[in-house]
Amino acid sequence: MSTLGRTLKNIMRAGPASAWKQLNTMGDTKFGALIGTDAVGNKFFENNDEIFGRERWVEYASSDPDPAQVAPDWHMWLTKFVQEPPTEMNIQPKKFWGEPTPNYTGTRNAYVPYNTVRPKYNAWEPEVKSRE
Amino acid sequence: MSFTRLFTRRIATAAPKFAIAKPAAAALRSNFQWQGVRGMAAAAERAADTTPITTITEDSHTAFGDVQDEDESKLRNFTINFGPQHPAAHGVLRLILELHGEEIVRSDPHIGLLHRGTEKLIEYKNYLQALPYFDRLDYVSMMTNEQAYSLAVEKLLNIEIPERAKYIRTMFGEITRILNHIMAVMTHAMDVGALTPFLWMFEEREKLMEFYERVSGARLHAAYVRPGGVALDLPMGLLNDIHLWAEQFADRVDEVEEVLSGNRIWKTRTIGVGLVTAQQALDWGFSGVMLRGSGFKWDLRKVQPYDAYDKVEFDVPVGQAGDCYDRYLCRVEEMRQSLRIIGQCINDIPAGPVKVDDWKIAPPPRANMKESMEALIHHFKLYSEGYSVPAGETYTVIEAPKGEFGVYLVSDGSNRPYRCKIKAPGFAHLQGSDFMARGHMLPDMVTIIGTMDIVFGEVDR
Amino acid sequence: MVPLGIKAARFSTTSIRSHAAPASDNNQQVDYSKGPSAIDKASQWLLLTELMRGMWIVLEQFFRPPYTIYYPYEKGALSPRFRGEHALRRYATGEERCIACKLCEAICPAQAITIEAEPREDGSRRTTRYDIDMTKCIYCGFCQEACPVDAIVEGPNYEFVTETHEELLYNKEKLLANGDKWEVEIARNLQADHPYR
Repeated sequence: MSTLGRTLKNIMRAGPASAWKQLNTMGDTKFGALIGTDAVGNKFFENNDEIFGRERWVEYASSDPDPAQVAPDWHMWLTKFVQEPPTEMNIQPKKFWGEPTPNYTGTRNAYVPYNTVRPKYNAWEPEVKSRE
Repeated sequence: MSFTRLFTRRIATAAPKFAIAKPAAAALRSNFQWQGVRGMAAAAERAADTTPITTITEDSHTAFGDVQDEDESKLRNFTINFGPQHPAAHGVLRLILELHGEEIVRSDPHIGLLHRGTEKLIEYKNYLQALPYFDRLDYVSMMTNEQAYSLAVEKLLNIEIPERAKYIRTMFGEITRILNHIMAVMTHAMDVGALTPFLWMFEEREKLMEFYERVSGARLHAAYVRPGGVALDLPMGLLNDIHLWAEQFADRVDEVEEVLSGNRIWKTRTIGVGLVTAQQALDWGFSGVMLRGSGFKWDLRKVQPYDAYDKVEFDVPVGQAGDCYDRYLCRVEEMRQSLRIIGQCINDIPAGPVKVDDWKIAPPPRANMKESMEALIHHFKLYSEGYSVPAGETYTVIEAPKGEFGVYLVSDGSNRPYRCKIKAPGFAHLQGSDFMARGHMLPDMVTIIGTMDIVFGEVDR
Repeated sequence: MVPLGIKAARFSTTSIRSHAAPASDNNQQVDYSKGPSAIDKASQWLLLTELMRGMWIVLEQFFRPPYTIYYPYEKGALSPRFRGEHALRRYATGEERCIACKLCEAICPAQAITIEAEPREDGSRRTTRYDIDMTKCIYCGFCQEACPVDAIVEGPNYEFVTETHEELLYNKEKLLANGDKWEVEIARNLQADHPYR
C-alpha cells in the first residue's frame, strides 16, 4: 500500500472484490486495462498513468505466484522488450515450440541431468570359463 | 557522556595513586606514551611519532581473577576481531583491533578472504577471455577496470581506437564513477548512521545499472569495453535517456548534500577523523580521493589524459584538511564533475565505428561474417586462438573512481599474457588503516573504512 | 587487600585522559571578524537549523510517490541485449542450429561448456553432448558472440533458480527445450539487436 489517497481511489475504481484480492497478493491496489490472458490464465494489465516501471503488471492465476509461470510471449511484454502485447503480434507458433512450463524445481518434475552420449567404453564383464 | 562512564571516571580519579605508585606500571605507561588527549590533531601527531611497539600479550594466568600483578593486568590491551562478517567491514575485511578501552591502539587488516587468483588465471586465458575477470575485481566500478585493461592491451598492440569508442568509454567511465561514489558515500553515511540518503541514491544507482544493462546486457559485469573499442554500439535512444537522467541527478546530489553536508552529527563523526597529511598520503602510495582529500592535486585524467578526457572540460576537487569530511566533499563534487563530463560526451559524441577496423583484433560484423569467407576465418581465429600481442610490457594506469588502477601487462608475443599484475588502489589505502585509526575511538574505525572506499574484489584479487 | 576503588575502576579500561577535551591549538589564530557572527552561530547551533533543513528534505521525500516495483507482479524493464539463461535454438524447420564448431567451448573463460560431436546418420555434423555447467558460467556472453549460426544464445530468462546444484548442470536436451520454450522472445530480441551486431 503506497498512499492512502491512491489506495482509496484504486479501490473505488477496481471494485472492492478485486482490490481485496490485490491487497492480499500484491500488497497494493492497482487499476488498469486488461490487455490479455496467457495460456495458464495469468491476467495482464496496463495503466500508463503509473510511474515508470509499474505500468504493466500481472495477476497470477495460481495462488502460489512464481514469475516463471508467465508464458514467454507475455514475459517479453511484461519486461518491456516490446510495446505491443503478443495478442497483436500475429505469432505463428512452430511445430517444435514447447509448452510454457513453470519452474519445476523442488517437485517431482524437476530436471535431472543425464548423459546424452553413448558410453565410450564398456565395462568388463568377467566370464567364468567352465572348468574342463 | 553516559552515566556509567561518568561513574567510573569519578572512581578512577579518586584512587589513581595506587595504580601509578608501582614502578613497573609507570614504566609500561611511559612506554605507551599516553600523553596525548583525544584531539584530532593530537591523534595525527601521535600517529606520526609513536613507535608501534604494542604487541598482543596472551594472558599467562590460568583462571579469571587469578591475577598476580594487579597493575600489569590493567594495562593489557583488549584485542577484538572486527569482521569478516561485520556489516560495516564492506565485504570480507578482517581487522584485528587492539583497543585501549575504546581507543584504537593498533589496527591490523587481514586480507585474502576473497582471493581468487585472478592474476594467475589471466596467464592462462587469451586476451579476450581475460576481460571478464576485470569486471570482478572492483565490482562497483566495473567498466573502468575493463578500460584499464583494454588500454594496456591497446598500448601493446599499438592501436588507436575510433573516436566514438573513446567517447563511449569516457561517458561510461564517468557513469561508473558516479555508481562508485554513490556506493562509497552512501554506505559510508549508512555506517555512520544516516540510512536515508542511501535509499534515495540507490534508486539512482538502479537507473545507472539499467543503462549498463541496455548497453551491454548485464547490469553489473558488463564485459563491454574491449581491447580495440567497445563491444557494441549504443542502442537507439540511450543517449537521450542518459541525458534525461543527468538532468535530474544534480538535484538528487543537492538533496544529499542538504541532508549530510551541514548536519552536525555527520560533521562530528567525520571532521578530524582519519587524518591523512599530504606527506603521509605520498609515503603510503595513496591515490585518487585519498590523495586529493589531503590537498594534493593529482588526477590522472588531467595529468596524462586517456581516451577522450583531453577533449572534455572538468575540474578536479581538492580537499584541505585530509579528513573524512573533506574526502566526502571531494567525492560529492566529483559526482557533479562526472555529470559535467557526461553532458559534454552526449553533446560531442561523433558518429562512426565503435571498434578498430582491423579484423585481426576486433571481430567482424555478423552480416559480414555470414557472407565473406575471409571474415568468417577471422571470426574463427579470434574466438578460438585469439590475437597475438607483440612482445613487450606496459604499465597502464587510469584514474579509477577509487584511485590509480594500474595494469602491468607483460606479453611474450603469444596470444596469452605472460604476466598481468594488477595495481589496485584499495590495497594501498587499506595499508593506511593503522595510522589513520590510531588514537581514534572504535566507532571511528567504521568511518575510516567507509572513507577508504575499499572493495575486496580488488584488494584480494 | 585491594581497595574497593580499584576494583570498580577496572570496570573501564579506558584511560581517563583519553576522554578529556581536545587540546587547544594555540598555533592557529582564527580570524573571527569574517564569517558568521557569534550570535548567528549560537542561534544556528541552538535552533538546529541545519538539522531542520535536512528534515525538511526528508519530509519532501515522504510526500513523493514511492518508487517500488512490486516484484513478481511488476518487473523491471530489460533490454534485448540481456544475458540470462542459455538456450540452444533451432531453424524454422526444427533442425537444430548447432554445428559443433566448438567456438563457444574455446572462448568460454570459465570453461563451463563441454561439447562432443560426431557425424549423424545423414552425414551432417551435430553435437552429441552439449553441457553447460550453469554454476560455472559467468554470463559474459562470449559464447553467443562466438556462435557463427546463432545457435547458443543467452536468453531473456533470469528466473531459473533451483533448489539443488545438479539441476543447474544443463545438458543438450534441456538447452534445446529452453530454446523451444523461449524461441518467440529470443527471435524478437535478435531481430531488435540486429543492426548493432
